[in-house]
Amino acid sequence: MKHTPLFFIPILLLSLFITACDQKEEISTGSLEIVFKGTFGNEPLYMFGRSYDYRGDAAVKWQLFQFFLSDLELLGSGNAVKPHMLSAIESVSFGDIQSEEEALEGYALRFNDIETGTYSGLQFGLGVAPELNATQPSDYTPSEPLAQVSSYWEAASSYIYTKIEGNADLDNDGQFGEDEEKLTYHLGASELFQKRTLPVTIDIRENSTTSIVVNVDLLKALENTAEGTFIDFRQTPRDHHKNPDVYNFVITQLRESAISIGN
Amino acid sequence: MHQFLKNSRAGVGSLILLGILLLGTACKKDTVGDDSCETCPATDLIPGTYAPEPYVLELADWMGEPIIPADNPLTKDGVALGRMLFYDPIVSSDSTMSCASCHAPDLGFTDGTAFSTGVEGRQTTRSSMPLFNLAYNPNGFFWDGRSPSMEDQALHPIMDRVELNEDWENVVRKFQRHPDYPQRFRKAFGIERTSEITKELAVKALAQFERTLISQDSRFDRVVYRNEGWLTDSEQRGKDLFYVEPSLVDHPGCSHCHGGVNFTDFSFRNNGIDSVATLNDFPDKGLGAVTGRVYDNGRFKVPSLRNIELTAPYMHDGRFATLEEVLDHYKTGGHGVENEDPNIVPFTLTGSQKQDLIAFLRTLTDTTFIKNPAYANPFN
Repeated sequence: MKHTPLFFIPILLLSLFITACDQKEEISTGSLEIVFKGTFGNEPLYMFGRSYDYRGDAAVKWQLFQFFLSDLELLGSGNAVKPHMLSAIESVSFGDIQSEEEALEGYALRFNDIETGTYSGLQFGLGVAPELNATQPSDYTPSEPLAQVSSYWEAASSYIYTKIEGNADLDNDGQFGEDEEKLTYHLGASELFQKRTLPVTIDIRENSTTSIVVNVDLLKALENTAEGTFIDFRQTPRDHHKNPDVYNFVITQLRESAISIGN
Repeated sequence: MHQFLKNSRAGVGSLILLGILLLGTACKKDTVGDDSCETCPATDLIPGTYAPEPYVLELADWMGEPIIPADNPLTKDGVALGRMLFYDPIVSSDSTMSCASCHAPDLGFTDGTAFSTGVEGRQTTRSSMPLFNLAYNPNGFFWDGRSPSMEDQALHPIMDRVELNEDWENVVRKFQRHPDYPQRFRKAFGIERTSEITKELAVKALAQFERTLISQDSRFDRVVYRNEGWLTDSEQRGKDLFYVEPSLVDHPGCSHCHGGVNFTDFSFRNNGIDSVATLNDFPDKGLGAVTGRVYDNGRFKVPSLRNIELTAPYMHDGRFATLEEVLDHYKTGGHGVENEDPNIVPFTLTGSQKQDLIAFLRTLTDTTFIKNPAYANPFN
């Protein structure tokens, strides 16, 4: 009887330990919305209905502009906030944006369950990361981004990183899409996959949605004003990853210049 | 006297009860097919058990995951019921036509005509669409995409005045009074009373059956995916032309829209078949009539090329009788209409290349599919 209290101490400690183990650490989380807003130079980008001047001697009406983003990740801040992987793969498409109002609304991706804190940037790879590029559309359920068969080259066993399609008026006759005025650029291959970081402060707060805008300027994907280089629609109205001068240029411009943090 | 009255009241009560029972029995009889009981409430309990067994789609490795909505999983009884409804002319106003009237298995579930014919010889304005591998379609049904789901799609042909020209209310009533369907609905969906048979359940059953229509055993499948046998030289040349992409500029580019294991990307496109002065001049506006967007005018569903040999005539209006005519159209590169798909560009195609392409397309014919007894008319 005298030793009874001592006998219970280990049991008490064990109980406390188990109770402590049972209590999961409460992690506060919030959501992030990334709104991609397309432009062509300073103009809102939308498909079909809008004619855009191109280098002063051509006009174009776009029908499709889309690209894949891989390894979309929020960058951490020192030791306080760890990086957070948002998604292995996303498809950003302006194909269904057909009015100025829709262009101003943009194309939104939403991510939930992100640990609260202040993140220091957004990182992504433009295109399909090599390990995912080794898969094919039938590996996915039809609603997943990589299930798109029109974004996959059977012959090359590769996804198409970006598609830019439209009808141009190159002879200034007011008609778009005559024989040599159909523009299709289907570009991408594993060796062109590279990551890009956009520094930006992103505050994720508990039970609320933080929104950031990412601008995507299609014009910058097609021309480099600093160097005076550009895609000449007359010379190359289409490239399906055949001409390195074209696909290297567009993929690099899109990754390095066309995508930026907006307001 | 008092006792007599009591006994008499009891007797009268018994008679009334007997009358009610007889009436009830009579009504019960009517609900299994006797049309003389117009006013019978369709609330009779349906006998039998509800023990749903999952229907497992037997899919080849290369086919990928289909879309099966969580609120309409495939069950053996659901699929069996859907198959019966698909072939039963009870769904048309004059009981002469069923879904299968325009979707015959041996024609890849089409009807071989440019414009399908409905009840009383009424003409539709579009060609009947092939029905297979629809479980992979993530993106709108019908040529114009007006239905977001297969269940919704199945609602329309019955109500369409130039197709089956029936009201769903009547169709449901016919199901409720049918000698067999109430039990089949119970087995499929667990309902307890005939009054619980609804159009929503009927289209769920139809959609379940349609999702089982999988074409995956063509010669192409066997050669390319199973490594069984070889293509002929002509077929192989056709295959190269079909898929050629990075290596040539001047190429048909078929796989832009008809890629993947289903030979369609399920998108809606203006494939350049109409020469119109403005986007409002398309004789059939297609997707545009659904969305109200002028730039969607003239855009139609990209059909699968599986079983293409069987599904002539081609296009939404059956304007091309043969595959030769189809290729002759595509090689001209369309008409330069503003919303024409930019992938429609002119290309060179010699006579022998055309035959090679057609030889390749014929390898997509799946005789296992069209002869599958599970898809055949259950009433035969």
